[in-house]
Amino acid sequence: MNELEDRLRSALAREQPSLDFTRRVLAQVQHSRQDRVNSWKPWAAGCVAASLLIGGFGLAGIEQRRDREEVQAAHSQLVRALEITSTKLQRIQRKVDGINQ
Amino acid sequence: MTRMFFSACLLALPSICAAQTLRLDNLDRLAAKAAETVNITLDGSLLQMASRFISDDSDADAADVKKLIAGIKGISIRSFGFKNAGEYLDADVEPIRSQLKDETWKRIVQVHSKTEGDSDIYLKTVAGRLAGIALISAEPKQLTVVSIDGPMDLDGLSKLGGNFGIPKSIRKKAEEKAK
Repeated sequence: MNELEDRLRSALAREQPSLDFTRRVLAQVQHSRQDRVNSWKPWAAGCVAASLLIGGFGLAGIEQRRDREEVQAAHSQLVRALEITSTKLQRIQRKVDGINQ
Repeated sequence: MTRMFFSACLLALPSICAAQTLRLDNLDRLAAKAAETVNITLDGSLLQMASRFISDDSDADAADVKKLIAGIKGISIRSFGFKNAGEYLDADVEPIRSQLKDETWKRIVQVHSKTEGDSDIYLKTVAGRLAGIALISAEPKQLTVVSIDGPMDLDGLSKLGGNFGIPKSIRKKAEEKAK
């Protein structure tokens, strides 16, 4: 019994850590933290790049659509302007012709 | 020194006159009384844009329209349709007529009709060159004022084919785009 107790006492005895224990633990912690950062970095960069790309294309599309609408509106206005001017000129021409006859 | 100043002013005068466009803003208040209103203001950049659009059309009429508007710097139109005669006064048109009293403007056509109202066409010349056209059509139930800044061939405009002088292809395209 005494022998067993001695063995247990010896096995569970408090032991001083080795001199480089703290350094090794800290190095391990640092390493695992670095691994975590390294693992999300490419994902984040990819997400940011994709967002920028989508945003850029979206803005270009909106700009292009706005330009097209402006051109179409200007064209419609021009046609209307020519139409009104032409109608009025023709009417005045008819009046002048009527007076001359 | 004084002589140089006056010489500079005289040299700058044609460009100053050319820059002055007819102001139609004072007619805008008639919109409240009118049953129908058309308000068109196209400046140089908008006309250029519209002109680029016309170039897509390949028929001869489109080329005529493009040629017609080539030298124009701006177009302004105010047209008001009223339900009854007498809803606008001569005084409403007077600010426009007073601008046309400027010596650069010359009235080339004046038609007076008791039943159909008055119509006037003015041409603006700067340094002997056509620089603008103005048209006032004051009918009992409709008032239309057109101001074109820059030279435009009136004969060419009235000779354009299609409905109301606008080539059918262009008109159809414009109507489709407007929908």
